[in-house]
Amino acid sequence: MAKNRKQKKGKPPKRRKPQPTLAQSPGRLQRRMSRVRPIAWLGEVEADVAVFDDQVFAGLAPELASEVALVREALQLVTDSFGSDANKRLESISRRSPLSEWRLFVRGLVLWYDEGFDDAQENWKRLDLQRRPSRIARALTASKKTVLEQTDTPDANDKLLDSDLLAAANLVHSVRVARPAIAEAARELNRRERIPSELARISLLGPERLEWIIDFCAQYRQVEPQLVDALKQAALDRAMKQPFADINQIATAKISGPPHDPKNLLSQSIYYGKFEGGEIKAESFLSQYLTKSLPNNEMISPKLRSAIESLLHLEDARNEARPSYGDTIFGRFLAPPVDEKAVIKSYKLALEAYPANAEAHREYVDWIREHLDDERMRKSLREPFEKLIQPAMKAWSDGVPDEIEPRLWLVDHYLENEQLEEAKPHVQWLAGSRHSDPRVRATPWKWELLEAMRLCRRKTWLSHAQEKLDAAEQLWPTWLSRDWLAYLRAALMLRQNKMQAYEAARIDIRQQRLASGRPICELTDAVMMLGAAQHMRVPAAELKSLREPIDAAVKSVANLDFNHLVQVASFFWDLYRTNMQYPAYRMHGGKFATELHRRLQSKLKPADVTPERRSNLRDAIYWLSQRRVFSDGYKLTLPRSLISLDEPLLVAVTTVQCLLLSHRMMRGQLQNYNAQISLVREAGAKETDPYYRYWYQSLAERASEEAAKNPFGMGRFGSIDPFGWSASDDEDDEEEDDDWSDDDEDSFDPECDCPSCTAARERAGIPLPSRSTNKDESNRSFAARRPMNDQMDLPLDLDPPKPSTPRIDPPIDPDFRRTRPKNPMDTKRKKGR
Amino acid sequence: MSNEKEVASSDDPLQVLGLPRNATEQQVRQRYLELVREFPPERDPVRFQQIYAAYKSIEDPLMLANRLLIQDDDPPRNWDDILNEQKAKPPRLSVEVLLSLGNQTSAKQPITSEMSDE
Repeated sequence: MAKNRKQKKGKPPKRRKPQPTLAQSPGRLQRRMSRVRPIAWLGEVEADVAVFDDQVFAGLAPELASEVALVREALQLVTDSFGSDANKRLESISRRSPLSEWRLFVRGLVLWYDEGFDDAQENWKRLDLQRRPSRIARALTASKKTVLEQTDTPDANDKLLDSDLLAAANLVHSVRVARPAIAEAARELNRRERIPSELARISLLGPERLEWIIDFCAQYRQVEPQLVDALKQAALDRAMKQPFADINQIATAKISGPPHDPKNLLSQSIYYGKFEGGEIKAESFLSQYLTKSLPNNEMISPKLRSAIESLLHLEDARNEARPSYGDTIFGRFLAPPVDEKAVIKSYKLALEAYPANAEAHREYVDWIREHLDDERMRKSLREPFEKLIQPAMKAWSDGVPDEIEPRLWLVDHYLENEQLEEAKPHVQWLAGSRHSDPRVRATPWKWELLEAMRLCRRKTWLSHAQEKLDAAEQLWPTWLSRDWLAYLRAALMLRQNKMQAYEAARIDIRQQRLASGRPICELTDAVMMLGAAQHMRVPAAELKSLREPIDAAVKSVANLDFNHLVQVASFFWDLYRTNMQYPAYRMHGGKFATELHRRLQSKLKPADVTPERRSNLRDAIYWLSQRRVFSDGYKLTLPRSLISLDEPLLVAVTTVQCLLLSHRMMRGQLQNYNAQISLVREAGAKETDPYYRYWYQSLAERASEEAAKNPFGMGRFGSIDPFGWSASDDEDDEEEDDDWSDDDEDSFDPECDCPSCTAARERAGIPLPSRSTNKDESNRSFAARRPMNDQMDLPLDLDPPKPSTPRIDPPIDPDFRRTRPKNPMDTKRKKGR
Repeated sequence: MSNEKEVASSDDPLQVLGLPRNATEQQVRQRYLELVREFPPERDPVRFQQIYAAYKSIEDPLMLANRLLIQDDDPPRNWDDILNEQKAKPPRLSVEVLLSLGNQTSAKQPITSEMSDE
């Protein structure tokens, strides 16, 4: 200080113009960058000055001003890496315009940034040396010269470089070539963090380093924006993947998140959702995100905002629909009851936010149908779901007009309820669409058939029903058995009270079947007749006699012939495909399904699977499969008899269908069945039956999409994983071994790769499920789905400390962190000081 | 972008475009324009078709939102990898800095309104 005072008293030293030098430190570079700004010189072309001076710009003639505005936009586009857009922006500037220099300059600049230095030079060499674009171009060109790193003096031979240009070139060289900030970052980030040894192996980001990154990013945001962004993103990523809530809290408070979550509310919700007991905090963050942050976020488009909101509500609906009691072996048994109102609310919110969310529509409808298909459910409990299905289908059709499934359902529903006007637009759309789904092409047939059924409601309309039935016969789909048609005609006669004609028709049916070499099955005959009679509105009193043989069959279901059960199931498959199930189907369909499933558990006799019966058996298995009997909600339980059939396609289709019909987490298993999916796809390409051709292909397509998805969606929800324990727990493996006993050599677990299952699978001609051969890799993926406080998720093989309890208040003071006791790191720091 | 062959054979639109899973709308558009410039339809129609299809699918807000919300299970990136990646991408100059490179302090400065106020 004393020395300085002396200097002040003496004669001030002669001011010398500082020689241009390279910025050796990032701080110096930062200061230099913050000082620079374009300054006009006396006599500079007005148009050039207007590019950076708003006052001059305001005084320009409108034509010239519009061109200057284009130049400004183009320069910004180049800075934002939209080079081609920048060039297009300046195409309208003529060669005679004073701003044509800028057009040449921008063209060269785009090339220069893409390291096309020679091409850039070709453009720039035509620039006027006295103008600003040329000076900038010369500074940029000179910045590449390595001589600048050696000397502070200008090159005497290079007359084109004055001292200003040399300084500018040095600046560019420092910013783009020397980049001292990178060197500083490398020094700091390669330094070993001072972290207590017991925490070192699980810590991904220590407090010191986090603070350093925050300071570094604040300081060099202007000089190295991309580096700063990358470091911020990496710091946040590490803070999210480690179990220390305090580090996470500092990182999320000090570092802004991605554009869709700048305040890190969503990421904190996901983070705290991984902790046991962190659900309340997770919900609080999610609520803040949905109500405050997301609706006001202008950084993303409104459509993206809506889509995010929809997906978050959808995820809530999924969790509400399948609650779990922790990630334990008993989780599924101890799960709380489903709050159906909450599920419905979440689904509705998801659909309101983004009506085109097809996945949400499909899942909502599937969830409702799951309840409607539950034959054990009482009528009073079923009724609310029956009321939900129509609005859900309508919303689906309105939100995703290209989806055929809701339209097909709505046509049936409207015709059933005599709402012809509502049905018409859907029928017209379906008939007009060239959809490859044979059910769509069969819409005219369905219309005629449903009309015939509708006309049976009143006696005065009955005379027209025959015409409609005839029309339906003309349009009968090739992929559908025509056996039922004769029963529909007989039912119409019964409805018309033509008893003799009806009896004759029943006899005729039997005779025709005998003549065709297909002896009639009494049970199928009774079921077809009852189904037809109910659809043709035969009075209840007359239905009673038709019910009797079926009721008797249900009572002695265990004594039914296997092939009779298969034939009935095959008919039910036709009804399912055409969505023509009759009301009484609910009374006995499930019982026949249960019995058939039970029979399929044992080996089939060769006589049961003759080639003639094989197609019926295939249909029966597909029917059972759509009834979800081959899974327990957590894993596949394919019947053993499938192996004896030697039908790999049947197994593959059943597997894929079962998994597609199951809930989302189980659908994730599809990624292990790529070989089966390929088999189904190939079968679809070769199939001659139009229904199966389309169905196989659509199954394969949907399965591929599901397999490609992250099976557990967002990580926040990964903690609800009913499979995590089953795949990694040895006890469970033993349980499975018991299920698939060794004494039955044909039994196999489709997912197991033990020698016996592999051999059984090979005998069945089923390829191995495609799964990672790297055990570590598969373990890692399971571990990744576990909650963060689970040991498997931590990057070490020792017991981790209990993770920091999620807490926000009071805020953690970084200084307190440095000075708090019992921290070996701090004692070292104190010693260092 | 990672391996060229790997990218081309991928079904994941973001991988086809060579973007991270959490890419923003702006990044998607920017990368698409870059790739279109690199593989124009007249020069490489197959690749262009791949890029266009990927862009169209990821342009769907629902798909993009899905990508943004999927949690990353990968281990955190090495600091060295990040720095090496950044070394390969020199920063662009801001418009103000770029224009200031043409300054000529040796020439006389015009009297601006700011100066006259002072």
